[in-house]
Amino acid sequence: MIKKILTLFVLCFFLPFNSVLSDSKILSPEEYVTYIAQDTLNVLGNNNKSNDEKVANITDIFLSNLAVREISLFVLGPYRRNLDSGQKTKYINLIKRFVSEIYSIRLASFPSGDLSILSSTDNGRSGIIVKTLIQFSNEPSPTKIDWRLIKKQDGDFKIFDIRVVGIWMAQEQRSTFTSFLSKNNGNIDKLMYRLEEQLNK
Amino acid sequence: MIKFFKINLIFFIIVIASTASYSNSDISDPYEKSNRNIHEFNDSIDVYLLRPVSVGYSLLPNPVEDGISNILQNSGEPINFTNYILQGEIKNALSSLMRFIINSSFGLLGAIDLADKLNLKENDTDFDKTLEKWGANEGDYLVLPFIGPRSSRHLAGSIIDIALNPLNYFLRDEGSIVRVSPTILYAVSSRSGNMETIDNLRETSIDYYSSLQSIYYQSRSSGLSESLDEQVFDDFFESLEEENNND
Repeated sequence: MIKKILTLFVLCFFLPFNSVLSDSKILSPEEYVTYIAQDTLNVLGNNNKSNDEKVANITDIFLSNLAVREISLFVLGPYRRNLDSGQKTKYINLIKRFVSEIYSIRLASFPSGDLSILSSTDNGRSGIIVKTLIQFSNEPSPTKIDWRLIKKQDGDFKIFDIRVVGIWMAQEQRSTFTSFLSKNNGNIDKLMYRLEEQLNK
Repeated sequence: MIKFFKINLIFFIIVIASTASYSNSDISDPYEKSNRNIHEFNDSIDVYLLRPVSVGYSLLPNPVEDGISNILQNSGEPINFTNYILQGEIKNALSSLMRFIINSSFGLLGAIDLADKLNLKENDTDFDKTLEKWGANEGDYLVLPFIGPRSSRHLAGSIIDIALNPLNYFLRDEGSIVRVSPTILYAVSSRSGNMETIDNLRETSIDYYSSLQSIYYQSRSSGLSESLDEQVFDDFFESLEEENNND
């Protein structure tokens, strides 16, 4: 279970970019998720690539499909109002680094698999939920994965969150960040220091 | 006399669970300091005792591990049956009963999940879910020695499940603990691969305690709490829109 959760978590932040998606506005939400997930699984299943190459490929391209700004602000919870304009750029860049450096290494250790789309629901402002099943090659039964997409002003979809077997990953990060901030008087500089500390481990 | 005691225990626990205050959007953790101490204790037990045990367990062939996992799952079906009856979910109750009869009779005491092949899918429930269905609030967040995270309602529900069926409860609870508690995970889980995963979570989270807390609540969530979760996203995007309009 925990492995599935972390698989989701990793996938959430390391979805590889396909050049076809540079024009993702022409795709339906289901097609968009299919392209991204299948490309990710293809990278994972490419035995000609070394682990470092997989990590590098994924790290280079995942930002193109992730709503980094929205995720960065969401995980701060109510404390995002403490974020001044001077901190904002540094904070969002730090989240990018945090995500890439911590989790790209994990992703490369996951196997390949097959994806199937179950359904898609437009929840209005809170995004479009695309429900999928991924059959990882080392698991006896498929893993349920839900994708929360948001549509940007330019019409492109971006991934805001992913849920594996009931766990929304951005929500989990939000709990962790807000817990830390509540113990540190909402001081975002301390959070950034903590993230840097984690990155330098 | 025993029946009288059980009935009183059930009502006592329902009262405790019902008086607790909690909303899913705002986790109640008034005992955080002691919870964190117990969390540290559990984590130490995990690292120095249970994790090494799991290394030996992981050497078992996969079919053996799967068989053990299926037996544990099958042993929990009587609890599922009882609670589905209490929840008024007769169809699910009958499904649990049939799964138990089929797997116990023809599936080598549950080692082989034949019922699944007959489209009788695994579908767990417990007295915590029953209490939720009856309107009891979630209560406070607790971390128990050797067991891990529990809401007070979940704790109350666990006591009822133990009282109803102690042997099956302890066998079956492996499944729910695996989802949230690394403490017991390594000792009993058939998933040796979780070792690395738990280690990664511990090493990369900026607050491991909070990570497990969030995973616990999300993994226990029901349809009702899902709609509250959805509200969290909706509120966020609404406020973001307002901010963007003001910029």
